[in-house]
Parts: sequence; structure tokens; C-alpha cells
Amino acid sequence: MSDNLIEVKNLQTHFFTNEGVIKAIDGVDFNIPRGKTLCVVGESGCGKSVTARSILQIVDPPGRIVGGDILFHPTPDREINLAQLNPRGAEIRDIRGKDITMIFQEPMTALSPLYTIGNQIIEAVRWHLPLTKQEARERAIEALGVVGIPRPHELIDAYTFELSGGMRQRAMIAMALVCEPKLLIADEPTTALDVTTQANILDLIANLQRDMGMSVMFITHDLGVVAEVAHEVAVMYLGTIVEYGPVETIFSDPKHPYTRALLRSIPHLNPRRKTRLAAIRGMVPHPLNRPGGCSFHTRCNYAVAGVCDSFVPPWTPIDRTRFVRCFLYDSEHPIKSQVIETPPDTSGDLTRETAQNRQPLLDVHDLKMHFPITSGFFNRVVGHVKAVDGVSFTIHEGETLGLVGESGCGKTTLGHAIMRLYTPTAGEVHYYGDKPADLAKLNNRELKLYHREIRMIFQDPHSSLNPRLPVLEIVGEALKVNGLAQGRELETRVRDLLAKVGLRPEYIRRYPHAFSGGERQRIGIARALAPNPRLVVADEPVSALDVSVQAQILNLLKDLQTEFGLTYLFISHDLNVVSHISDRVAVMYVGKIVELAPTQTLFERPRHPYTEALLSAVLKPDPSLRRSSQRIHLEGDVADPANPPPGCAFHPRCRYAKDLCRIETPALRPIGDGQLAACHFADELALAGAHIPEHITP
Amino acid sequence: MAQYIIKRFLYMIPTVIAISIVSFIIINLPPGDFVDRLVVERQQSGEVITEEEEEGFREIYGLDKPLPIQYVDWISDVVLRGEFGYSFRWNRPVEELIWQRLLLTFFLSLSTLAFIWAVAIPIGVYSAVRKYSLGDYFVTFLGFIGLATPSFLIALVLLYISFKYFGQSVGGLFSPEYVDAPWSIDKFLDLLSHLWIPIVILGTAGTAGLIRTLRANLLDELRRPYVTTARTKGLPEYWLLIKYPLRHALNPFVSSLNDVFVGLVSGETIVAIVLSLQTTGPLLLDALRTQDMYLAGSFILLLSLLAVIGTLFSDLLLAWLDPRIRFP
Repeated sequence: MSDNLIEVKNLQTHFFTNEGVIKAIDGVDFNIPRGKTLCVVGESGCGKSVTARSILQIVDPPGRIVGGDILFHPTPDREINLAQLNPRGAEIRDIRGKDITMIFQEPMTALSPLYTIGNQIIEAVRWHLPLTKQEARERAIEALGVVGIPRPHELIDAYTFELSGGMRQRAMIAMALVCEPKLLIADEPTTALDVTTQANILDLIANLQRDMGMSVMFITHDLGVVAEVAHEVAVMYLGTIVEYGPVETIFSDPKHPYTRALLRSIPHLNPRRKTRLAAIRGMVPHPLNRPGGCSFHTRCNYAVAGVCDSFVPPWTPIDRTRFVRCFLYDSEHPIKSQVIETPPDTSGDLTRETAQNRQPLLDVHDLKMHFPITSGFFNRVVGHVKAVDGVSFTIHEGETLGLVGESGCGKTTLGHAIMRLYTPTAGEVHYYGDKPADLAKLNNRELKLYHREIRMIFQDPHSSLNPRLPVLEIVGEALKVNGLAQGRELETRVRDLLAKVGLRPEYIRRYPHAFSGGERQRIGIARALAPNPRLVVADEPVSALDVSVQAQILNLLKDLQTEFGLTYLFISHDLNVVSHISDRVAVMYVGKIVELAPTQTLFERPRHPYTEALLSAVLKPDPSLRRSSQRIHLEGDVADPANPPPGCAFHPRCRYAKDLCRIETPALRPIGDGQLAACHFADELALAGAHIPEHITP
Repeated sequence: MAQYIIKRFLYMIPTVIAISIVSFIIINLPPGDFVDRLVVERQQSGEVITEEEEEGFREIYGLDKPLPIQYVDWISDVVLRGEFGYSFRWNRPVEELIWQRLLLTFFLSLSTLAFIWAVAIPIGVYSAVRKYSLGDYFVTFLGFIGLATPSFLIALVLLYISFKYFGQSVGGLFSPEYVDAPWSIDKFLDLLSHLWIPIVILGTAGTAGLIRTLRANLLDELRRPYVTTARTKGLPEYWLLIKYPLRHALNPFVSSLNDVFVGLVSGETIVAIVLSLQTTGPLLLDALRTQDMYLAGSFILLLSLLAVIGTLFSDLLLAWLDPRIRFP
């Protein structure tokens, strides 16, 4: 008899590579209670996904389960040890897709584009249940309806590329749920989605779980998601679980130093206090170079030499429900840490004076960026994608302007148009540097000077660095082409830059592949800073990074801003990050700015319903704030910028929309105290701001 | 889909017109014409041809007219009446000469293609799924040999072996008694019994190439997340392999289909000569050497048409296979 659907005992999954044995999972114990959600959280490379895949025996070669048990109880008195089944055998195949199913991060690649979603769902049904084609199709349509896909009768015959990201993930969930599984494994299912879509998908999974009484194993790196969905939490670090317990206690009273550090490093939605984030130093080591003893000791503030680096800490119960793997809590030989809690380096309240009194550095006026849609034999222009459609704003010297919105709202295009990677269709981009000019009118030769002063940091540190150039060339390129430095001097300056962004200067001859994601982003920042720019356009610079690394990079960006008086245009979809770093925030929707205000004002008293909905979708890393019932559900997707709805583009998704909104496009107008909003009813609506905790528990 | 097909057909028209013009010009590029060559041949056999006779020949053959007129005359006959002009060398209408050869060539090409696919796909799949196994190394080794050996050499070796050890001539597509016989079941069976040798020879290089391509494609596809998804659904390996990664890996296969078409139709000349096959290659070579312009021109026109149709065919097949192409 067991209350647990899954009991994992001392699981070990190793990868036998040419370089050596990688112990991706090295002795993991946890339970998945019946009808509950277990969240597995940790940074990338910690073995979360491999743990999930081990349960289904779908670890890719050269990986293999080498020890331990995975006890599966389909009914309380039956027990199957999944770890002992043949990975290609019929027994495990009967369980896969029927009793235990899985959904993945990127539904675009996890579903085949060559078959309709219906085909792929019906296949799963017919493989496991004795249904006819027609019955299976009915069942698939029903499942699509349950996950909230509109018109399931039609969309069952749609291909993945005809659906939006959120719809694809819903189709994926329908496929996983169609056989009514006992356990759903969700591997970062919302990471690739917008905040608004993420909120909808999380609610969907929670509701389905309640209705169907299934268990969920939810893998994520996002502590906000954990706080939202988990009943139990397992914190993983380098192939072991370091802490396990109910979600409330994990957040209110974290025990393991890694859990504490993770919780401290997330940027809270807190526009009032601009503190430094408490980053965990260093990064997750490669599993091949796992440190001996407690594998976290290299990054731990409590580590005791001679103990933590020599012995593996035991799995220690704190109480009946909580376990931790740390010598601090060892009942037999508890260590007294030499280091008393070093308070996070929050030196200096980084709130700076408001930017109102400063000089404008960039003045964008009615900027438009339209892309023609062509069709037919002669490529006739049949329409325009109005990616940016009449945007005006000013950035002052030394401030950070945050730019937020869902994907497809034109944030990145706006950034590129300002950088003049595109030639704007209309409008002006006045830059008041040493030589003021309207960037929109300059030709490529004239732009060269300004590309020294305005620089860009890109989102993906993997694809934005040329893999065939050493760091010296990557960082030094801007200096070389502008004739600012060469030879020995170039090298010296690149070394200085590397030191400034926290990389070792001796890495100058290495190639990008030798660096981790966070280090690569530092290289990208060094490249941006090389010619001493004044304005930096940062396009989602931390979105691809782990929380701890994200905190390091955000701190670095702030430090560099203070040191060099930089001005940032900070593009991000993550409102926590934006609230942390920005002085003012602009919210974009379908090519237009719908609200622009000082950060604190915007977060506490939004004036546009879209801002309100975005704020409501932000997940707070605090399980006591779960309030999915109060969340504003933004249905549908961002409107098509080629064919925006008449009037206010937001009206089809707006819960306050009136007749006027469908006819007249609201202008961006001042609503007092430096706040601008493009809503007819901005003065009348009482919109809810973000819930900002008074005290933030470390 | 219908719109796509119509569009692709419309695109074909200018292509074919351009090809016919270019091929006509190229045939007329070498100095002199068929009559000059005729004169030289006659002189070598001791005859003397006067200037008037020469002009007479030119008038008969229509070679005295300006080139554009010659082209228009020729192409309008082709389009309106299905007449491809007159072969000076064979003293017969071109269409009498080429249809049978074209048909045989096409049949040989299709059979070779079928052979290539039938052999290459299972081996390619095996070699990708069992990467770095003994079997993979073995077929890879064979594949490289197949790629590296010129086809005519294989033809010569096969000819030699079958003659020396089996006392059998494997040249030609028919046994001597059937060469000029009308078509019958027996003649067809005779064709089949001869066909396998050119198929194997012509198919070897193609097979080897496709094995390599399929292996590489499949190795990429096997790592894709949708394969894992299919596995989590509980599908058995062989089913999942065919439905997902193999289907994806076939795309480049299909899009290279037209290359195979062109290569088979024009590239088999040397092998055909070695094996004395009655296909288009040897006749085309002969026509080009003797400046038998209508024969050569018709050949090039038909072969180009075949290439264009092959491309169309592979594009349509691709659109049918891959919905991403169907929905632009």
C-alpha cells in the first residue's frame, strides 16, 4: 500500500561518453504523491530533465539507468519497478503515453510539422485504447476542447505551424491527457511562452489536475512557477536532490544554502528599492568536473574546509516531510559553519534621482517600421506588417528605459530600427551625442560614427558570437574597424574590457565554445562596451540565462551603468527583471506604445488595461500569493500587425472595452505625473497594480 | 494546393521556351553546318560536289534561311504537328528515331531510380540507427567504393566477367532475335532479363550517394524532440522511426529527385556506349558530332523538358509530403 504514485530510490543515470562517465543523476530519492504536483527546480545542467526521462526510460544514449529503483503504483497495491523494465520492451511502452505522459518546452519542435495535430493525438489514443478511428477522433476533439482550443472540430486538422505558441502547447497537453494518465511529466512547459500565455497554461494544468486527479511532475528553473503550481518541491543541484519538502516551507524557511541562494537571486517585482541582486558566485560546473564532497561547496558561503569538500553529506530528515542534504543539519556530526551568514552584497541603494531633469539623449518621434507583404507573380505589395507604427519616446542621459510587451508586439523591431539595422519607413530618431543627428535619415557611411556610440546586446549568447573568432577578435572588432586601436594597444584594451565584465583577461585567445552561457553574455557585453558607447540597446539580454547567472549579469549591467554613465534601452518580456533595472518603463502592444511611466508609478498604478493584465500574469515567488482566481486571463493572441483590429488594437482582449474602443484609436496622452497612456478611459478605470511585498524575505 | 500546381505549371512555360532557344543556338554555334560536313565526307570518298549542289542541299534542308526563321519553322512544327524535323544523317524524320529510344531510356531511368531507392533507403536507415557499428562501417566502405568507381569501368568489368566465365554477351537491351521484332510479351521479358545489368551499373553510384545523404539526414532527425515525443507516446521503435524521422529525412531526397532524373537521362551515355544500349545517350552524342542539328536539337529539347517535368514532379511530391510547402 502506498500513497505515492511514484517512489524513486537511489536512482543513478550515467552517460558513458568518450570523455568519461558523466554521472548526470547520482543517487536521487523522491516521491510523487497521488494527485499532487511535485516541482523539480534547479539551474540548467543539474539533471532535472534526465530525472524525468529516466522515469519513462527514454534517456538518450549513451545515457543509461545504472542503479536504483523507480517504483510505480498504478493502483495502491500494485507495484512496477520501471527502472528494471527493458527500455524497448512492450511493458514500458504500455505505460508510456497511457499511464505516464510527458510534455516539453518547445511544442514547435516537440510536435512533427508533417502531420496534423489530430493525426498525432489519434495515434496516441489508438495505440493504447481499443477504439475505432472515428471514436478516437471524437476523443481527440474532446481533449482539444478540454484544453481550451477554440473550434476543436476544425483545428484538429491544423498543422503545428498554423497555431500560435500557446495553442501548440495546449495541443501538446491534449495529446498527453487524451488517455487520462496517472502522471503528467511537464518539462519546462511554459519557458518558451509569454507571461500571459504562461499564466493561462499553468492554470490549465492546475485545473486539469484537480479535475482528473492525476499527479504532475513539473520541471522548471523558474521559482515563480514553483510557487504557483507546486505541492512538493525538490531542489536539484548537479545530479542530486539537495532539499525536498512542501512548497510553503521551502519558500518560507529554506534550509539548504543552494535553495536560499536561488531564492535570493530572483529579481522581485519591486520597483521601489533598487538593490543589487544577491547572485550565487560562479556557475554550475560541468558534470564531468563535479566537485568532490558536497558538490555545492565551491559556491557555498557556509562551506567548511575539510568537511564539505571531502565527504558527501547524508540525506537528513528535518521533520517528517522535509529532507536536506547538507552537513549543517547532520544529526550525528552537525558542523558549525565558520562563515556566519554573509549578508547579500546589497551595498548602496541604487535608486537614482528621477530622470526628468536630465538631458535627452535619444528622441524618437513617430517612428514607423512597415514591412511590405508581397504576393503573386510580380511580387505585388498587397499589405504591410506594421511592426512599429508611430512610436514616440525620449530616453534621457544615464537612465534605463524598459520596453515590455508580449512577443510579436514589435519590441525587437523597434530596437533594430533605432540601431538602424533597418531603415525606418517614417519618423525621426534624434540622437543628441557629440554630433546630434537624425539617425533615421543617415546613410550607412554616416552611421558608422553612431554605431560606435550606440551599441547592442543580443538575447542568445550562443548564436550572437561568431564561433570561428577568438574573444580578442570578437570584442576588439568594433575598435579595429573604427580605427580606435590595433596591435598591442587593442589587446590591452580588450583585456581591460574582459576584466571589467568579470572575465579573466587570459581568456583572450579562447573561442566562444569554451565559455558557458553566462560567460558568453559577458563577452557580448564587452563587445558592446568596447568603443565606449553612450547608449546600449539590450534586447532580452538575460532571458536565455539561469536565475543565478541572470542575477550576475543584471548586477554587472547596473555596475557598468554607474561606472560609465551608460544609457540603456532594456527590452524584455520579464516584468520582474524590468522592474528591477528600469527607471521608466514603456509597454508596447501591436506596434504602438500603450503606456509609458516611471517604473514605480507603472507598477503600482497602471493606467492601461494591457499593463494591468501583464502585471497580473507575473508569477510571484511566494506560494501564499497564489491567486489564480483573481488573475486576468488575456484570451487569444497579440493582434496581427498586418491587419490590426480597428480602433484600439487591444479591444478584442480588453475586459473594459466599450463601443468607442472599437471605432476610435486612442492617442498616447499624459495622465499626470509623467505618466502616458493610450486608453480612452485611462482617467476613469481603477486598475490594479502589482502586488508588491513590503518586506522581502531573503 | 491547386493554385500551387497551376502556378508551377505556368512557371514551366517560359523555362521551356528559353531552353529551346538556347539549345538551338548552341547547336548552331560550331563553324560550318551539316552540308559542310557532308561535303568533307563525300570528298574523302572521292566524290566532288559543286558549289551549286551545295547550295541545293542547303535549300533542301532549309539551311539557307536566317537562324531565327529556322528556329521558328522548327519549333512551330514541333508544337503544332509534333514533327521534330528531319535527321540529315539518317534520312528519316527525327520522331521516328527518338521515340523508342526515349521510351527505353525513360524506362531504364525509372527502373534504376526504383533500384536505387529500394537499396539505399533500408541500408541508409540501418547505417544511421546503428551508427558506428560493424555493419555501418561495412556499408559505408562499400558506399565509398561505389561512389569512387566510374560507372563505365564497372560496366567493362561486368562485361568481361560475364563473357569470360559465363560465355554470355550482356551488351544491348535485347537478344539479337528481338532487336527488330515488334513488341510482344516475349520481347518485354527479354528486355527485363537484360535490363538488370545496366540498372545495377547505373544505380551503383546513385545508391552509394543516397546512402550517405540519408544517413546524414537521419542522424540529424533522430535527435529531434519530436522523436522523443513519439517515444513518450509508447510507439514501438520501428513504427516511430518510419513515421517520424524517416519521413522528415526524405525531404531532401525528394527535392534531389530532379537531379537524379537529369543525371540518369544524360549521364548514362558512356555506359550505354560500352554496353551498346539503344538509349538516347549514344544517338545524341552521334548527332552532336555530325551536326545533325534537328536530331540534336530535338534531343536537347526533350531532355530539358524531361528535366523540367522531373523538377515539377519532385516539387509536387514535396508539397504533398510536406505541408509546410503547401501552406505558403
